[in-house]
Amino acid sequence: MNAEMIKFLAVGLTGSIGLLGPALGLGLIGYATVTALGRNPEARGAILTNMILVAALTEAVGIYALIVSIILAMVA
Amino acid sequence: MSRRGCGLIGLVVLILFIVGLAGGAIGRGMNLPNISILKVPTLEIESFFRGEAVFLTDGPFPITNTLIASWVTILVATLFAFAATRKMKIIPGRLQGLVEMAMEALINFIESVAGHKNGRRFLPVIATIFIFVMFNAYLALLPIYGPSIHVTVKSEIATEKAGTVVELLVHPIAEEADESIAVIETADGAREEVKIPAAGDFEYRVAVRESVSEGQPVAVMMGTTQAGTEVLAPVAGTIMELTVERRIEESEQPIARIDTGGEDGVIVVNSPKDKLGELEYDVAVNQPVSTDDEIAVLTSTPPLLRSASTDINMTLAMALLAVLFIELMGLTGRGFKHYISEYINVGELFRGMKLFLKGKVVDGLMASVTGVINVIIGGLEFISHMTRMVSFAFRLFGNMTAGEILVLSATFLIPWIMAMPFYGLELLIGFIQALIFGGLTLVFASIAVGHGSEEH
Repeated sequence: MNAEMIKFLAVGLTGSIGLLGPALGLGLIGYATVTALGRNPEARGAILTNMILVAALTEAVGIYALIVSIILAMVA
Repeated sequence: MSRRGCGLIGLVVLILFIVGLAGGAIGRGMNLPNISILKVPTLEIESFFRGEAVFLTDGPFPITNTLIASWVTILVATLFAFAATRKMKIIPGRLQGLVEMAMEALINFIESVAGHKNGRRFLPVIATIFIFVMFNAYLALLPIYGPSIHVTVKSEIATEKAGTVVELLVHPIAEEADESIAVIETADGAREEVKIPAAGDFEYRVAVRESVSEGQPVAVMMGTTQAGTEVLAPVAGTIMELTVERRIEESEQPIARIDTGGEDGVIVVNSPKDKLGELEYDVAVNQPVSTDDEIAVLTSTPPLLRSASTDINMTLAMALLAVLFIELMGLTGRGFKHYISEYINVGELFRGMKLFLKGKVVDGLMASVTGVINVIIGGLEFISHMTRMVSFAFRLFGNMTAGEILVLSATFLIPWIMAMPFYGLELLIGFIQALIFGGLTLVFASIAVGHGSEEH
């Protein structure tokens, strides 16, 4: 196992583990949205607006992991 | 649309898809018949976080392509607003109607979060952030914008005939006298610049990482009035950098003369058609070359425009502005005393000490412990406010860069058709990121103002 291999392992693992959390989070957001829509279909507009806002916030965490892995791939 | 029209469009899309599949990177991997009209550029990640300097490259304030793009955005947004409001009517036309509708939606959104009074106060800043981010994202989808990951097209220039290199024709050109042409690092680590006495083209006599002694010629002037003048090294040391590059400035510029020795005589190798940029030679004078040997590499110049949000400096500047706005709103909305007590919360600590001095040891101790915790919480509050800046900056930068990479890799894998759905996705992401940047600033600002009104 040389340095190059460890670098690529680190890049891949940063991406995959880092995206695990946002993936779970997005699933939970979708679950909560669908449940809320089922309970209260009239509030569709407000629910969807908030869902998109929170989904984008969650996704941003995944983007951080992506940036870290790209930096690792480039610099390390 | 008629059924036949739909079928025709579907057929065209299918043909384009198959052609793209065969010509792109996937087809190349599967050894499908290569279609030469499709040129897949070599992807190379270069200056990931910043734009590439286009003008004033060596000065203290280089003009990057992202900076130019943000100026274009400002210009387009201003012209758009001007065109929409130039001749306002009671019954709005199409453009005026669109802008009025968008503005009304924006005002409603802001007032629904911050309330009527604060909403009106926040509107200019929030709307500016929203419009600027959205225009940036949408304009960056235009084909004139270069990809954010510098697509360096590296053309390798080869000779057609074997022979000996007689002359290299592209020289570095100094634009003015006293321009720095090389950097020498001396033995004790000091860096010394080598200055050229006059403007004009010259040729280097040394290579990077070569060691030179004092007075050794570093370069020699070429075709100017001072032809033959040698530029001497001012100190002994190692050449760290040769600052002036060889540039190809016109299509099919001659780059080298090669003596084939046979009946062909001396041939001239030209640069490829319509490709400009930086040239780097792989051969030296008097070096023998064989047929199809690579003699130089041409690296293309950076694009003139590149999505402004893919420059971390731009997003960081906007994040600074947003955080400053939030703190300022907190300061004016709650008054200096309340505002500062959020960060430096020493009231409880002082009370505990006072109790301690009065002789109530147990009560004083309890209040002091709470006071110390309050001080630590104040510090954490300050850190969390400053972290917002980083997350603001990286959220926008990351999303925009990731989008560009997505479109780029789709184009790379299957040209033409595959990028289209991602362009649709990019439209959505541009809007949502604008909403997030503006919306979060709005929410934080209304929280910062809101605290005070609860406490009064």
